[in-house]
Amino acid sequence: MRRRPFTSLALLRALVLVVAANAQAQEPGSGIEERAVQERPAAEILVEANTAYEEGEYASAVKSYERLLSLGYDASLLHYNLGNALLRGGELGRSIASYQRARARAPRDQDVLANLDFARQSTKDDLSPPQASATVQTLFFWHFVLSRDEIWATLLIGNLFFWSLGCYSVWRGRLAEWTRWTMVAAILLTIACGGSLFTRALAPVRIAVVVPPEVNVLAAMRTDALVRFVLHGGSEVRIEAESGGWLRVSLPDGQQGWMERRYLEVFQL
Amino acid sequence: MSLRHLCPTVGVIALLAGSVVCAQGISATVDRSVVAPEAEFYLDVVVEGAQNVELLLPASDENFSWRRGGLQSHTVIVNNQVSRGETHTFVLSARKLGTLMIPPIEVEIDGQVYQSLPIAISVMPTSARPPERRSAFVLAEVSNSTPYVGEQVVFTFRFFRRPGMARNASIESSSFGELMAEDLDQIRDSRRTVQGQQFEVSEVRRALFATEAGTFVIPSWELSCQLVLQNRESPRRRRSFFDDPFGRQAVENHRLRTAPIELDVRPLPTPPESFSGLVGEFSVRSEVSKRELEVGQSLTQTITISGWGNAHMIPQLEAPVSERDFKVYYDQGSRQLDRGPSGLQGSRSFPRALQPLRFGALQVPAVELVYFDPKLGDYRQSLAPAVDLEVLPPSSTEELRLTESLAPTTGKVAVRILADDILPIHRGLDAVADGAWGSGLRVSVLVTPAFAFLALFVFARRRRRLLTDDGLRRRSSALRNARSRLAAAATLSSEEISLALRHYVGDRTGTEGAALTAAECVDLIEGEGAEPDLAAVAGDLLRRLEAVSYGSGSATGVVVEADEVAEIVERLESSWS
Repeated sequence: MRRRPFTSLALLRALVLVVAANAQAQEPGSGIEERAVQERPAAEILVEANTAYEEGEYASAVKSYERLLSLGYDASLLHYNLGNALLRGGELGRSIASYQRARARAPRDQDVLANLDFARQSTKDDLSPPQASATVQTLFFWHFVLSRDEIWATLLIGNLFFWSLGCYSVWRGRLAEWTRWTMVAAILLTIACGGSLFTRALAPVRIAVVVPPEVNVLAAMRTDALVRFVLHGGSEVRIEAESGGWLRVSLPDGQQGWMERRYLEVFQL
Repeated sequence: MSLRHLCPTVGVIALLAGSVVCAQGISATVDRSVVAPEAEFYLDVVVEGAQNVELLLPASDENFSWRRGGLQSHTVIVNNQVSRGETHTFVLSARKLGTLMIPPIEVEIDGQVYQSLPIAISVMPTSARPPERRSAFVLAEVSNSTPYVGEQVVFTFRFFRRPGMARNASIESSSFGELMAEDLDQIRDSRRTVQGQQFEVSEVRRALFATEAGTFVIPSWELSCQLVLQNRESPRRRRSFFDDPFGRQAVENHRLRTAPIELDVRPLPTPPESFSGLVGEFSVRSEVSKRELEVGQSLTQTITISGWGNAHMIPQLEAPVSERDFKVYYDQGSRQLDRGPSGLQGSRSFPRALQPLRFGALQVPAVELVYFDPKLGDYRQSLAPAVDLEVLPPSSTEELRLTESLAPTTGKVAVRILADDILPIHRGLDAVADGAWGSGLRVSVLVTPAFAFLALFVFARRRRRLLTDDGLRRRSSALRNARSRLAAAATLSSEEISLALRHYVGDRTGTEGAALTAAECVDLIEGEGAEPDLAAVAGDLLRRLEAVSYGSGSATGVVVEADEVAEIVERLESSWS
């Protein structure tokens, strides 16, 4: 019987990568090649937004930044600037959501982290923001430390490395010890990055920020239901379920309740 | 019967009445109905027919002070009938003299409310002896009963007891109502002789300050202690745990109280604008570290306010200097409070560095402190005189620098964050720069290496097989070899053309083509799956080539073109592909 120890695994791996790539392609706002036809250059709109911000016209700045987002621009800097304009304009909840989106795209940007921290200090409720446990963050540090683009780059490099070594082994007709271990490392790197992208695309953590200064969290999906607790603007909660314009949210201590979606700004990590 | 004998009689009757169960379920009894003002007595409330009940005690009682003494449950079985109950014990002490009533106590059992009878207690001194003739007593006094607002009043509480006659004393209640109080010193113990009797005295002092005018009452201070009884003053008293087990001395719990003290606080006269808020006797002084210096150097001025009174409220003193003459650097000051028996006194220092900005005769201004003197009944001013300085021009061309340490004892000062704000926006155009790679390109880069590997793998495997498998190699090269052999058809003989065809058939079928006959070739061609017609044509061709080769063909005019053979080869190849 012929031995095909390598081909089957390689084919399966290729299939997994194609699925992950397809999932990535479905992620909203992931590409810029589908940008709508715009009447003015994006740079002009950006300059206009920045100027409005510098002059204190925060509402106008917010409008311009959101126009750029609607055109398909999704850079971390854009969300950061929008967060600043919202915060200056007094919209604490939405500013925190913008800063969180900026952080998702640039997890190590110190400016984003500083402003997010500043905005959180202005919140009224003593709630820690929803995040994974320290153990999970340590074990899967790349998922939290690297941006989506960085993980993609690492995935492509690891993938290229793996297949290149495979081609080299096939051409040479044998699999040297160092080649084998390097390929194992490349597989692990690719799987780790692929898993991170897979998780972000298909099982993202959905977080919501309270937008109004004060809102009731109810025991049921009715406006006349019992008020379980009250949340204030800027508080971040985890979304557990969604049904017909209502979101079931949870606090770090496990308390849950229902809120209307219009009171929340939703984003995913 | 005189009133003196009537009261105890009334008390006995009340006691007996109180011990009878007035309503089903609850009864109240006392261990004695005639008590001294300081002495404690026991009230037992017995609840029959239930356990773990909550008694409805009076919300407030101006006649007695109440303290819980304990709870005992009991279960009695008589003639197979079980009855349960519990006894609540309270320790009471009378707040005033006279015949006082213990109000009824209610309890709810199974939805029905039961009530005990009220009990009359006669409260009278055990004798007409003045306090100093007793074994223990307490006194409270103030240094001034008509102070001004903010004026210090020294409150003194004294506990007198005959040596060895009191044990386990503790102050139970010590409040000052709406007055502010500051501790003065620790408890001071001494011995005094009062009316020929020697007493041990413990003294507690407080400094009191009224924050507004009006009449204030310092409530009674209560001290609980155990007094050794003399001559068995109360033979019917309940035996206490603390009694001498050998029966030689009896100990009784007492609650000693001082009389309330009323203070009539007077308002301050209309204060001047520069009033510092200090009431008492205060002074201010100003000291400088040097009186002669150069421009660029600095001196330290220390302003100190000290005195007796509300020294804990010495404020920060404003002592402005001319901005044209000096630059000021403020240092951290110090505060000191002395809590002596005569009252609260203390000081507060405000050091600052002054750096002269010009040379010449400069003056550190005088410092003024306005305070209220209660003895005078008016405001007074304390003045630290101005200090004349001689500021010389700088002796060197070096830049001005501070040469005197601001705080030689405290060292450096930590940086204090004054404010915080968000970081500014990013003004670059990076936010709208096109990304290097779109998702389509990423997917392409992702899968391309895999396909390249697969292609290389297939190619390498086929190449390896060609190297190791002769039959495969011959089959793979059969057509190519036949074509190359037949390419030079013009120069080939019939035998060579026949050999080329037989080699082709042999390579395709894995046999040695040179040894094949025409009939064997036909069999092999049909065996490989070619059509019989095609095999017959090939066989006929081979026979004709043999005829030409061996001479018979040329004589009969048989001619075989090489192209014909090449066509047969192509048709066979197509048939087998």
